[in-house]
Amino acid sequence: MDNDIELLDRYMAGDSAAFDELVKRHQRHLYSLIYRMVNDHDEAADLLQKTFVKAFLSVSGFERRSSFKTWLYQIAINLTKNFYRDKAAFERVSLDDVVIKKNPKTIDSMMERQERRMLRQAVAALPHKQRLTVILRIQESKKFEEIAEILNCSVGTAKANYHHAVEKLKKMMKGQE
Amino acid sequence: MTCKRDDIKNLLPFYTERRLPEYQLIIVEAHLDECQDCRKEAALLKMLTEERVPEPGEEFWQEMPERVKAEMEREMTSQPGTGGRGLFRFPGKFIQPRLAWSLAASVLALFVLWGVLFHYRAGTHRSASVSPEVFLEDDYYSASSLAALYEAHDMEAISAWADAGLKEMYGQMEMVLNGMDTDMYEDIFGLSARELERFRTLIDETSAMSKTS
Repeated sequence: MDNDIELLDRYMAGDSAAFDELVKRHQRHLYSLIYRMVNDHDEAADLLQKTFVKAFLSVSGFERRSSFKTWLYQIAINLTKNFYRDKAAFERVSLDDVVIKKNPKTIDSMMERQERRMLRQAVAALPHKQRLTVILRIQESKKFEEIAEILNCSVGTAKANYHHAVEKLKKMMKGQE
Repeated sequence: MTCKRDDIKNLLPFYTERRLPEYQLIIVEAHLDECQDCRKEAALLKMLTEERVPEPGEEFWQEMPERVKAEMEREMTSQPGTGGRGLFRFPGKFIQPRLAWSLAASVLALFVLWGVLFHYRAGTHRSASVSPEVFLEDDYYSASSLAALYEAHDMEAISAWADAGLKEMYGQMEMVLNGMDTDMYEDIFGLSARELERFRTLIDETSAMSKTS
């Protein structure tokens, strides 16, 4: 992370190569997080670009208490949250709907495409912080300490969100084994 | 039934990613053999872990820095009223707040100083409504209180001076906006919203006084 700070200082001194390096260094993991939230490439690409624009235009607001990467995550998450709020077309599917639609198959059949789609819907139906916690913990392999920092909550809250989310998702699989 | 073994549940993400050391792997697998709830959870985590994000292609990654730069420039120059933090809209464009603040403060200070000096110089033929004694005894005059003391021809002179001062200020702002004075960019983020608001008020007051004269 020290390297990020050095690059930031160079960028603020007018070094455009440092800017390019910062974007290239963080674009993939940010895109991955955003994509998992919105499930659409075009939207994810747009939100990724907006994340960097917002970060660099307000770089003076980065107080360097956390890592630059964590700060970028926070910006991306806020923008994604606004995207959900502003996008009326994005209708969240209730977990109950997902459970009703499911087929009484075995766990093996859950690996099928239809079940994967239902799982994505179930994740999308989770409350915002629970969904983020699941994505960060399981799909982005973040530690609870990192998740707590990104979501600005305690480690205990992050763990509680994770366990609540997993329990809800498990309901979808109920009776399938 | 929901399993209460949090120690096992905390290991399940590592288990699905095959990142557990041997001794923990044995413990987790032994538990999974007898716990249906944790087996379900492990299956769920495995599915989530295997959800892949489509790769957008190398071209996408290579172009991203330029896309971000282009959008930043667009945000800073072509969207009136939607400037980001540290930017301030003024006559249809964005200006550097610290520069604007210092210029405005200088203009106002010179304006007041000019008014005081003018009074000393012209005090002998000032109208009877304001006596030089009263003027000299006061320690402090705001721009507006000075304006109340002026006669019409004084205000015309002040107005002309203020116009010239503002034109000069605009000229310096243009230099910054056109990238001819890049050093000032270092100051761009230094001002608070309160300072910006104060600057806005000062400019409004100065402009209003020019118009009313």
